[in-house]
Amino acid sequence: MADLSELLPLNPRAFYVLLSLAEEERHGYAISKAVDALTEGTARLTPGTLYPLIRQMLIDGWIAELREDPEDPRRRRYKLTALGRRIAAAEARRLESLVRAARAFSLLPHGAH
Amino acid sequence: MNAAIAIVRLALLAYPRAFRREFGGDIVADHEAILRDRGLAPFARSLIETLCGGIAMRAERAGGETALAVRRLRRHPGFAAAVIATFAIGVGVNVAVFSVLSALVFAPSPMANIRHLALVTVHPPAGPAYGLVGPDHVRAFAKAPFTDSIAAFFPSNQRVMTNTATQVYGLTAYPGMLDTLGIRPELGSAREAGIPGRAAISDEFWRSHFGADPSIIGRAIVIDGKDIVVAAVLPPHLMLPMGFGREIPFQLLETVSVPAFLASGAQSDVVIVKYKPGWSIRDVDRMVRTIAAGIRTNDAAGRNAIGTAVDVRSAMLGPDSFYAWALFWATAAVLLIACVNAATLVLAFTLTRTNEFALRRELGAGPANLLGQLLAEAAVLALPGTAAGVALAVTLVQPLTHVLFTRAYNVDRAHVDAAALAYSVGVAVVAVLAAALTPYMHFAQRRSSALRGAGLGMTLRSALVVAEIGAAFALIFSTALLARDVFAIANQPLGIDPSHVAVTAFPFTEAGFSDAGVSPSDEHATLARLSALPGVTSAAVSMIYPLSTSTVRMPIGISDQPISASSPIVSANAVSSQFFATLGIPIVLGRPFSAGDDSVRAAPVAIVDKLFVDRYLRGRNPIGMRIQIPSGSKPYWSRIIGVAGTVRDSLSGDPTPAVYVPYEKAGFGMFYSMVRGTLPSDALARELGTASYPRMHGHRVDTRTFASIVAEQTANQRAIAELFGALALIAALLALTGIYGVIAFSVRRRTREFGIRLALGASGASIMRGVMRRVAVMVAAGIGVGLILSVFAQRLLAPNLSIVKGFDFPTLLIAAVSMLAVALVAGIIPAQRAMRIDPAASLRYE
Repeated sequence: MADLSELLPLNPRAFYVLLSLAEEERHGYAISKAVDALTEGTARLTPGTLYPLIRQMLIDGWIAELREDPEDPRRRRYKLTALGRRIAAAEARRLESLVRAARAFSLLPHGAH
Repeated sequence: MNAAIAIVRLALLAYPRAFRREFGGDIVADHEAILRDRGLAPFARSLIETLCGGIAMRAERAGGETALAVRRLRRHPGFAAAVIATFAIGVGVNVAVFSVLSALVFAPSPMANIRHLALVTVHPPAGPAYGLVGPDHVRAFAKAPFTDSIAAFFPSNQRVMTNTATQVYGLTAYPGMLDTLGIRPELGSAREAGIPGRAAISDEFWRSHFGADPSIIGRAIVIDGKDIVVAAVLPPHLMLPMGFGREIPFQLLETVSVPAFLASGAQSDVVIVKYKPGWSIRDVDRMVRTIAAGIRTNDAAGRNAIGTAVDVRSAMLGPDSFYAWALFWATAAVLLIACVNAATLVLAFTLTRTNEFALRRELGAGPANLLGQLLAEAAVLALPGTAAGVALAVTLVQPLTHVLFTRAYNVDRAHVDAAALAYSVGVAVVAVLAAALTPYMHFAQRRSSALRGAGLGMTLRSALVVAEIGAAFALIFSTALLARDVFAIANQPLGIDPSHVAVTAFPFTEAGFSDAGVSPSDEHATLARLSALPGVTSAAVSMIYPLSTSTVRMPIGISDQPISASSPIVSANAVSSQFFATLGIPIVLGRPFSAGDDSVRAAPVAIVDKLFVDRYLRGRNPIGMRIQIPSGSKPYWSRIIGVAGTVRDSLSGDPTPAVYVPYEKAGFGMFYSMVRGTLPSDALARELGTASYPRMHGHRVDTRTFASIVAEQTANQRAIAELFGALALIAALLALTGIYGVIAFSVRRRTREFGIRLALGASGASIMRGVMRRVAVMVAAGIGVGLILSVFAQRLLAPNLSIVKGFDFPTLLIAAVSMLAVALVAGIIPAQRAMRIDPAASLRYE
């Protein structure tokens, strides 16, 4: 198994895209809406940033393309690959350890969610 | 909605095509959704971001291309160096010449009124255009309807600042001269300096003699025993019309009253008129002609003089402006050749990578990708090339201004400025496009039809190389023309024997000698001392000497006809008895002056030259004839005792008839001295310098040899010829690489064909002949183009050539032989390679 730590930390936008695809397959606009909901509007993904990101992730094999969206033939839907899922998980673990450290130094209240 | 979507589609053009094809639909659909769900503001923000995303992607890709190009070129340092050097030479030479040109033609003049200044000259209807502006002319032009104010000046005799015995070269000026010209003094007031009895001094004089003391303004200095109040310090490096300032330095500009100016009787060379607004130089010129036609002069044939007015700017630039433009076009030709070469080199390099490009095409690279890659590679080569070129230009500008255009008033300000940099960037962009587009066109055609495409690229390249040869030919032709002319000017017979002769560079006033404790009669002692120098066989003094920049003209009455308005005007000189022997001027009839002729009590005698006899005394025996010579208000009659050989008084123009009188008789206040000896001229010049006037308070006398005078006076033309030579050499070298590139490529392309022909029994020599025939065809076509260009070059240069006239055959031969030699060298290497092709190996080729 390749060492994923070289790829970390992830660009937050890339992490949100991976997160939004963790539960279900989505098309581009659905991804940006999901990220919007996930971050309560603090990280907005416009098409100008989203699609270059998607293109790179497709090339790197983090996500894969499904055939046409049945609702809108212009759109294509994407799903997380096994590699993408592992990377997202690794990034989550990295963030978790950071949060743990922050708690240890009383930067965050213990047990808060 | 539809309009909004159209805008989105437009913004999508910022993205590379592949990306657009893949994600364009999604992006358009997303924008529709954003506009529907969230409204106009988020839509607009998203649109802008989309546009930026596209630009960022393109930039990143270009960066990738650049990095790729850098890596590739590092593997071919020889090729990269050749192209960078081509760029550097093309850009450097062009920017340097452009900078000088822009200073000459576009920079502001220290004369603020230059746009309204007319240089008015009056000259005889026939003969040389020397100045004849007499008091009547000055008076008439001062009150002409077009005149706002006038400026007039003439060089005063050598003067001495009394307390320090410093020699001061002065100009005597008509009142208000600085104001008329619009010259702002560095210190003091232009108006004050224009009041009679006041003066302006030069910046250099102020610094060297008054320690740049500002309190000089308002102080009186004593010149020739007379107080003159200094009212202004002139701006540094000031250049007045007629070469005063740089070519003929002066320290003092003294204003005298109008009556005094007119009464001085001196014929100033020019009058400068500041004409009123609403008048054009053409109207002024017409009016000046009318005015001059109404004023009597002492022309030999009794005709009135011709007046002309030209604008001061072009008069001051004169031939410099012409040479600057000639150089500009010559360097532009070099630039063209450099561009062609950069293109040819890049193409040749690209062709060795046919496989790489084919592979890229298989991987889906479109024409735009190909062009992007080629542009990136050309830019990578152009950037350091242009930087090196600008550095080259910066170092070239100063030396250029030192050897060229030294007469121009603001050449000192020439430097590589924003305009020059913009020009260089423009030049580089053109070169990059040339370097990238040629191989692109080649491949774009090759894509449609492999064989035909290559053939067309070949034709294009051959045509470019033909143009290159033509331009190089024309440059070599121009160089040869200029060089031959300079050589002819420098080597024309002067009418003297210049070897083993040295002369003093500046004349000395007798007034100066009395101040320095040398009485005028010591001139005889000076001559005796110079004659006694070791290695000196004869010594002389004279008022002027051949090629000295000043000339003295006067009307002469011939054979009992007293001086009148119709008397001929001749060149006059007052000389000591050994003058003819010292300069080696032959006495063709009669005798030279003797020591007795110089005595004040002796009967007045004169010597005329052969030209004088031919023109005015045809068929008569000149010996014993009388001529009347002006001398202040009392002309006197002299008897001709001899005829001397004709002597050239300047390197350009025709000689003027000359009259010589004994030095002592003429009563001129200044003289040059000269010696002939057994030593070489340079050694004599050194001796003359130290021995001339030992009591002149340690003033070392500057001396010249005729070789150095000729060298000085032809320096500008020589520099132009040398510069053209350098350009022609560059052009020839570039043409050489161009020919080599085309022939080498053609041999490479036909390797297979040659191999088959060799295998079928063709001889290597016949293959080589075939290749060389191609070289011959290109050179013949190039020389044809060159001949046409040379006709234009010849037409352009002709007005500025003194001696070599016409479309002369030897110069053409020089150019043609040079081009053939270049082509032979360039063609022989690839031709030999073609001859040695191994048939077996060639079949495996490609």
